[in-house]
Amino acid sequence: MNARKKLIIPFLLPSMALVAVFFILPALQTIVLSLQDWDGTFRTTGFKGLENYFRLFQDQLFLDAVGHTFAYFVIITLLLFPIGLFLAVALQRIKRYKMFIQFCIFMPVTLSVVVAAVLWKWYIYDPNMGIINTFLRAIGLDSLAHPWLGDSKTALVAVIVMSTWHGIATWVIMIISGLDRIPSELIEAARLDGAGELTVFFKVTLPLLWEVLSSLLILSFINAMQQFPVIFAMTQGGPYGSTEVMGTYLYKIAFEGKMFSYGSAMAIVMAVIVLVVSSTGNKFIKTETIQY
Amino acid sequence: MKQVSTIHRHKPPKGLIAVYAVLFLYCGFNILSFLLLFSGSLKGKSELFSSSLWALPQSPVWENYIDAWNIGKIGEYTINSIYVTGMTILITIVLASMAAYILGRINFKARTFIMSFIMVGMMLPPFVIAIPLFDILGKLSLLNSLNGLIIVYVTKQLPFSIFVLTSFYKGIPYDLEEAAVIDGASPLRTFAQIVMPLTLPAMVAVTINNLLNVWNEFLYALIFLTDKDIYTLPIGLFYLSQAAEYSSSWTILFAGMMISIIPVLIIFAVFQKQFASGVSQGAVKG
Repeated sequence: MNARKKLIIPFLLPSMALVAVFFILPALQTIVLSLQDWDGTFRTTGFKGLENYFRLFQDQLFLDAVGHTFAYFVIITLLLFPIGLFLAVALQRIKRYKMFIQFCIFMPVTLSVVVAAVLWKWYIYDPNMGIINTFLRAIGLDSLAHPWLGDSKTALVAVIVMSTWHGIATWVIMIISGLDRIPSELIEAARLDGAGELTVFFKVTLPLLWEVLSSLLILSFINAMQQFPVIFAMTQGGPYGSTEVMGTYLYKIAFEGKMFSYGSAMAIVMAVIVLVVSSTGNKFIKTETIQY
Repeated sequence: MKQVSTIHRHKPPKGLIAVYAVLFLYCGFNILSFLLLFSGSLKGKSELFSSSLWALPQSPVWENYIDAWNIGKIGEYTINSIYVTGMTILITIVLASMAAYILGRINFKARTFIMSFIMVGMMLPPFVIAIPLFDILGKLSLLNSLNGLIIVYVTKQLPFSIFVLTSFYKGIPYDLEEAAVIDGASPLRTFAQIVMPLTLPAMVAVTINNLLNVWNEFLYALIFLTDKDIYTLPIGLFYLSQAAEYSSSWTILFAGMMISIIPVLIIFAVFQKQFASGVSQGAVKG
């Protein structure tokens, strides 16, 4: 089998070279850039130290964006978990029309965020014609009809609801794969003991899903921290900056404002938050995983 | 199968009807929004604003699709997207299979290091590389070029693809491969003709996920493509939607959205299962 060893270098080299040149190298350059002063067209290679980072913590717009990013994480998590759990358990239980229902639930994942954003902006959230307001008026709740995306109080939640709808497929798939790994004897034993459906779900199923649910929690956090496309396509941070998150603010600073060094510092902060939380989270899951 | 369902009908579990009701409501909402989009894409420009959202088009204006294709440049964007997506998924699956074969089946010293070297890409946000990448691509004359975007996309999809394929390669029994070697097949032939074909299910799962990701990718395309002629569909549609706010060319936009949805929706309908297995295997991916 030693002849195969000849393949190691030619087979690994292309992938490693791509990752090195188009991922590792720019990632390292971002660190260097964040310590320099490259704003606009004028580039100095002078070392600026941590100045860009200090500036971040005095930038009220950035701090607000961080706040909105964490709010995004909390709200989308509160939506994704109950909805994802319900749909996954329901899909696992039903037999008739299963493939059709599953297709309908997963369908949004095929849409580009731009398409999903326009679809919701125009057909669902539109103040005059949208499905929500039409429905509210039809049942006599005219007072609740609202410019969902135009009001800074509801815009962030409105964007998050759309994002939940768009991304629910991953959650449902992951939870179903977790449910499939639960030995059916455990569930049946609980049922034989006379436990009702809800008791079985909360006392047996849910604790056994711990591993999947906690990795989804981390995934939800990572996704929220780097969120950009959904918001940019839907509100571009508005109205009045109420949906400005780290990603959209970074894009505006670095690519619209050409403040590359300042933007790099922001990207590093974002990466550090993601890395710290996901690595400690992963360790936590490994030690806490229930054996069965 | 029929017997099973009759047995079930005798004692319908409590609450199952309620569950079905909620599921059908959810599905109804999804289907309705697609149908409304389709109906909107067939309305006349002024009809769109004068008629209710719920009204069917008076007489379907199929010209919207022709206008979207030509005037809205959706035709060009579609061809760009097909080129970028096609090349990316092809190059990715070949490179990822090669790397995964080595990482999954051959023991050598640096293996763990190389694995984590490649996997870093799955952890870090795309923003962390976007700014210098702009510079690197510029120096290589790959900025504002579809080929440059393909290279970035391949790099982006490689970690997830290698991750899923490596675990699949690990699970393939060694006897077949050994038999081929005894028969005198070269290592390259053993890989290409004996082992790689066995990973077909994993290759399909990885490819369908890559396809959806690349076809819909937004951030890199937005940053690295500035020339109107080489927009991919998501970016083209984004600027079309920005323009629609002022020029009220909504019907063209809706027709363009339908054009971008249909092909992936059909592919998804066929490969739904493989998509799900790809997602559950590449869980760590962001």
